[in-house]
Amino acid sequence: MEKGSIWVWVEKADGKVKQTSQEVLSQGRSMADELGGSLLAIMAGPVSEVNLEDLCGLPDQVIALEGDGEGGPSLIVETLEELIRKDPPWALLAPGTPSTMDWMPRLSVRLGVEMVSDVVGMELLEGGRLRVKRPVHGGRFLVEMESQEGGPRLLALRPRAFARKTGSRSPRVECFPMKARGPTEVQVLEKAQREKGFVDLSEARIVVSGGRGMGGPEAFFLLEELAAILGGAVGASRSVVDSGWRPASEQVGKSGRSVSPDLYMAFGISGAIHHIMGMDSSKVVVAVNKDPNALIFQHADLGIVDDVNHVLPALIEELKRRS
Amino acid sequence: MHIAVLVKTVPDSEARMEISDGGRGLRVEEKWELNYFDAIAVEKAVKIKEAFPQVKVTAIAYGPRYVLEGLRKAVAMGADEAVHVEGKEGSWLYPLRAARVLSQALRDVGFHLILCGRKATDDDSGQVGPMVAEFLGIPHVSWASSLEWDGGDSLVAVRDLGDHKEKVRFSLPALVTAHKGLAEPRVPTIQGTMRGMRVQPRKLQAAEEPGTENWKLVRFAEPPRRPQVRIIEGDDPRAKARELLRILREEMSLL
Ligand SMILES: Cc1cc2nc3c(=O)[nH]c(=O)nc-3n(C[C@H](O)[C@H](O)[C@H](O)COP(=O)(O)OP(=O)(O)OC[C@H]3O[C@@H](n4cnc5c(N)ncnc54)[C@H](O)[C@@H]3O)c2cc1C
Ligand SMILES: Nc1ncnc2c1ncn2[C@@H]1O[C@H](COP(=O)(O)O)[C@@H](O)[C@H]1O
Repeated sequence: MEKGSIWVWVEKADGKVKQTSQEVLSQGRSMADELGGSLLAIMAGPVSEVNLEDLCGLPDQVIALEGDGEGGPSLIVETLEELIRKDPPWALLAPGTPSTMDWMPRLSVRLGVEMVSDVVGMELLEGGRLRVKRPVHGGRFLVEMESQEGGPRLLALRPRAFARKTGSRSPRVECFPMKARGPTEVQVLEKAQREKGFVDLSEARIVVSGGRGMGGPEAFFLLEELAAILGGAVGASRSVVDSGWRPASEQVGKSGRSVSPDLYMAFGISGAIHHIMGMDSSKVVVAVNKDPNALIFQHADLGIVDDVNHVLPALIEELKRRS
Repeated sequence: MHIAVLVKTVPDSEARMEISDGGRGLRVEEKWELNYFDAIAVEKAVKIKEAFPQVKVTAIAYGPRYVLEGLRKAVAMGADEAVHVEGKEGSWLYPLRAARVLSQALRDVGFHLILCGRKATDDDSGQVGPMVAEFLGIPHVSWASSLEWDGGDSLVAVRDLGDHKEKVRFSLPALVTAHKGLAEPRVPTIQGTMRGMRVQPRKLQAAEEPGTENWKLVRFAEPPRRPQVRIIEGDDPRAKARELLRILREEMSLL
């Protein structure tokens, strides 16, 4: 492939290209256009499962990695290393999900180049230098880094940090074998099926979170209902998780997940720094708390000072009436 | 069985921090803590040791003097030994460098199982674990929320990946990155804390080559500030709810 080509790693869920991968494809398209290169989408699975519509007309070419299931980290690393060594791209971009963060660091070691994770902004400068921005210290600061000569540049993009665009290309699709060379070292015994339509916390457009102020686990049925109406995901504070009201996978914060949805709604959450560290990069924050001095209001755009047990049912009812 | 735990010392969440050197550095108040996920990893290692007394636990840290804090905490929680790989200020931001240095130290120290955190709360990179595994040519299991060892040849872990869970089996040597749920870090006893204070970590020189990175730090910046909160007034919760939805719909086009 010619100089300046951009590769994007694409992930699927429920047989569809994930929204976060479409965001990365959009960013990859802009970079490829600026560099005068082409955009290649790489995904695991057989050619027959590639749904071109899902790729939003963005890539020029698609490579389907056919072979042993979805492939563990070493299998993906070996396959990508082979592809990259044959024809190094200018950059390889991927959505920053737990699954890419499982193999990309290993690929970085193989290629002897650093990767940058959790990228929230990028800009191509004169002379083909790339400047990227990422949060550090739980979002208290941003750090800007600039790529030096030599590639490929390996980047994992923070979900929901980049806009989704569409194009009008019809890519050619090829397949490439993904074959294990040795025995699988980590054997998957059981994979809990994800529920259909499940929205992962860090990929959700809207997150509705509850804290201890919800009063108890029963009250979270209301949050689930609100999330379902809004097409969002439910989050929780650590106190709630530690009390066993909600599963650990829903915890937002320093010791949980980091989220940057378009809309984050905090119900009965005090706004401790450890919680803020996981959600401060959300675009719009709404806080509902009965204490007007709650810290959360210092990190919110819109606030309601009232009892969540009255506000939540009212919100749900109003939303239902409108639809 | 020898368990090596990688422990990073990070600024306490409450520590004051400010941008310095015209954007090129961060000045951090001297308030440190053991990275939360690493505390979970130490706890798990110590739990395994308590169940199988022949297990030895070594905590390893790379960085300048302040990393002694994390090592002391690990020993206070029950780690047998501490290893300090001396590094330069500023190395906290370079995961590939840290992974290269740590894997070299791990070869010196020896290990069967390596435990580390799934990410550090300072650089938030989440890279060092899988990188160390790759340098050492061993398999890794990331985001482990449970880990079982019955003293035999293989271990079973559960990975909590947010949208689904996965149960895996693997043999040693291997590296596991700790996620919430794996263990609940203990508060050290007074005797433990004393042991931590007295520990003389074994020192190793880092084989680091700063400046060879293919990304250069340009500057630190403040994130965009949120404007003052707009409190929604109304006679009752229903009126407030209605007004909130109106703003989200009409003014912000979010719904
Ligand atoms: C190392 C470490 C890591 C941590 N990591 C995390 C993390 O990842 N995520 C996290 O969330 N926390 C984390 N914490 C904990 C954090 O410090 C706080 O303790 C926690 O976030 C508080 O949870 P909360 O806001 O739900 O509860 P509380 O602090 O108890 O706040 C409850 C709030 O609800 C309000 N309220 C009560 N009743 C009502 C009502 N009826 N209507 C409206 N409002 C009401 C109260 O005014 C109060 O503001 C961590 C702590 C440490 C030490
Ligand atoms: N300097 C370091 N010293 C010891 N362990 C480290 C260091 N840097 C990273 N680690 C380990 O690697 C994990 C992931 O770190 P990071 O990739 O920086 O998010 C941490 O939770 C630690 O267990």
